[in-house]
Amino acid sequence: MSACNVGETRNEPQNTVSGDWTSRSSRSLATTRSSSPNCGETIFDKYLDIIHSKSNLSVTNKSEPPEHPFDFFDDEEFAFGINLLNNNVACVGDNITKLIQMAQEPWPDNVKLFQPYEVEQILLPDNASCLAVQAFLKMCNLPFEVEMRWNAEFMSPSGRVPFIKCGAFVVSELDSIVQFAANKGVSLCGRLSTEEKAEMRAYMSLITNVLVNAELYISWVDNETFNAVTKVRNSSVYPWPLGWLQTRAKRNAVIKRLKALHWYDKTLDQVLADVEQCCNSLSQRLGDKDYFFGTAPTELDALVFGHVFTIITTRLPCRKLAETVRKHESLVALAKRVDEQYFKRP
Amino acid sequence: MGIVHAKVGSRCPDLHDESELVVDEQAICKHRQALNCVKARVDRVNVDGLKRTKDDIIRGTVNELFKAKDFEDVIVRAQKVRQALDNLGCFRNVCVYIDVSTGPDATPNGLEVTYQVREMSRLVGGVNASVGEDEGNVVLDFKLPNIWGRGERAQAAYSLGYRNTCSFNISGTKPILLHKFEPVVSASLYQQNQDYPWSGYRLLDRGLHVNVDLKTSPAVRHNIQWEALFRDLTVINKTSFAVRQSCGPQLKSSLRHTISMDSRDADIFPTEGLWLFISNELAGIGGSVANFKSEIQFQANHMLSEESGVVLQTSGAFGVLHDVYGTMVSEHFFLGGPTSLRGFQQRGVGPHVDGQAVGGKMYWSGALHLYSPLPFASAEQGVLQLVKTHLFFNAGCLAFPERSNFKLSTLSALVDARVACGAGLCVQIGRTARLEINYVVPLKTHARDIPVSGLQFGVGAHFL
Repeated sequence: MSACNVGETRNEPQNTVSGDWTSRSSRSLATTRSSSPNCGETIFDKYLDIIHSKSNLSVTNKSEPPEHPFDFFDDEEFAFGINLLNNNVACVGDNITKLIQMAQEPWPDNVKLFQPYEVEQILLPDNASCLAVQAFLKMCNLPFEVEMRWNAEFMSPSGRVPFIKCGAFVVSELDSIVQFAANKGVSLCGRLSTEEKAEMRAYMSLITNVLVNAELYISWVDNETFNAVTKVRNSSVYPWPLGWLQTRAKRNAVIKRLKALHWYDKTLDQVLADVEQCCNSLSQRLGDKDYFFGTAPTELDALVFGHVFTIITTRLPCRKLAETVRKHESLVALAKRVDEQYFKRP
Repeated sequence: MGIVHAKVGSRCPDLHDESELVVDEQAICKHRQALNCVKARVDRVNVDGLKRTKDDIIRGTVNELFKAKDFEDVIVRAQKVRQALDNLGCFRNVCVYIDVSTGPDATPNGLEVTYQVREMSRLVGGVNASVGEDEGNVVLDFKLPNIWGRGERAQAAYSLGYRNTCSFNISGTKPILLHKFEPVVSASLYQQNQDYPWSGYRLLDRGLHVNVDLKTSPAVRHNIQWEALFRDLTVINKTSFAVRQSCGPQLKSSLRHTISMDSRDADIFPTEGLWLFISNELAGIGGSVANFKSEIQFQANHMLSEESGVVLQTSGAFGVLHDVYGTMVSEHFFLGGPTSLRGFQQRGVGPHVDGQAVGGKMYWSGALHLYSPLPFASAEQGVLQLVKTHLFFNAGCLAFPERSNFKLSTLSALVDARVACGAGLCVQIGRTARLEINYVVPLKTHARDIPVSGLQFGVGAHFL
């Protein structure tokens, strides 16, 4: 009996692939309801049901975007899903479809950006990325409020600051936030061609590969800066001996990362040479334009602003990094321009 | 072998002459009277089987026996001493033999009491199952009992629960014997990793715990504890932001004092007696958390009728948490679940955000139970003795009053009681745990609560 059923399950799909798709499915659906079909047929019907429900789903999804003021591509939904998987986005709820729809709702007014305490806690690399995100949001004209928390990095879904809380979503770091804003139809690089977008991404990854690592190196590996600044600031929010433990643990984590990227073995001069090279290529690309891609800023400008501004304004015992960056006047000018235009303090 | 010789005490006047004349009642009574009329005196106490246990503590423990003046007294004291020897934690089993004393030093009414003891081996290990807060654990433990001969022990335990819980602890215990309050000093280092899916977080605790246990009277125990705790709270991706705010490492140092009074006749199914537990905890002696937490729990039992074995039990709990700074979700009170407020999901009462319990700073709960043995079970013995049916009615409330207008909102919040009732079966597991299968009906719930109606299943050591 059972052997007979298995044989039939194998045969059924082959028949249908060659046969008429719709008539076949409607027939089998009808049989499921009325007569009691054998085992193989029920399995096949379930399979068809799933296909039907999926096609229904995609139809509803495709029919909705036109009602929206902006065009959405599957790319962005895909990117959203990837961010969700990569722990850069956290949200309450299980229904992915519903979440994607929610993610496409317009930007609310009560968005908050969380970061560590600016005065006593924040470190050079964190400050740079927080400033970059702030600059990006201001360039997009998206309203937000800055909230400082001692445990911002632990609250962040990816473990890195800053992150924004937007409705049910918690999104961390610049890339995901850019993606998230694009999902809501807000983008700074809409006018760019595909090649320009690719170029922009390349420069952005150059910055994360060089400037961020250099900042981490200066803060955590360079002994002078570590002892005089990083240790004190990082442990400022914890009671003894937790501060010491946390600083040690974080230093080990950073060193592990730098080792994996072969940055730990570099000397300070080699690091500075890398920074010099990075700044060279950035300032060459910038030339004497206002922004990297014409007259309006993109997220690359936000990122460059975040890092350059932070590096040149943060007082560290090791002045060499700031001096290296300061030599590139066009970058400094860009930072000043963004600061004046978007961070005008009353 | 330790032998303790008695000194010749002063002859005590026979106090029982009159009572002997009055005796004319039942035979049993007569017999009892007779026992305490027989003059007796303990000449020698032998303790057989001692290897590494030190003589001084044995001597101190058995001294009690030499105060006996009649035979009944001897028996009662012998039993007491047996209990005391058992409590030293050095022996696996203790037997008592009482004999007429012989030999040159024997007195006319002299008796000789012999304790046959077996010391525990140097290393004891085991695999046990234990039940905690609605969770079963497998515990692997090693014990070094009686290390230096005075009841000191060291212990290491590793436990794994089915809900991703994993913990281990190493502890050392030193009883200070022959002291009036029987103090026990212990220190332990532990790590505990536990998931709280109802609130969407995971807690890693690493701590040092020092405890002094005092017994001020047979039914009253005091505990004075100091705990230094490293706590790391992590959340999953779907956790509500209200809980997410509590993420991050914290250091907590706290002093706690607990009093427990227990006059019940059994732990799991008591028929008479009162149990009271008061705990006060002050956190903030160093560390990043400062708060004051106070909790009181009680249980009272009364047998309604002897022949049917119906027991009425009332129990209640009340707790207040006063936050000074740094108090996170994990410190809050939670209510609901098969072991606390039945008729609700675990942590299902009180403030919830996005379906996740965020706890409260104040709670009360109370329950009224009516226990009765199974209808067809013989009351005397058998495994059915471990099963009882109960009818219950419980109520409680958990509130998170804001700091502003503290008093008013507190009162109004605590009035909003949640009520559930039901009936079910209770099964005793081992000596300390209990299993309940109940059919529950939530009678009064709040919009944010997560009630459970129908069957509810709970395992635990302490139930409301």
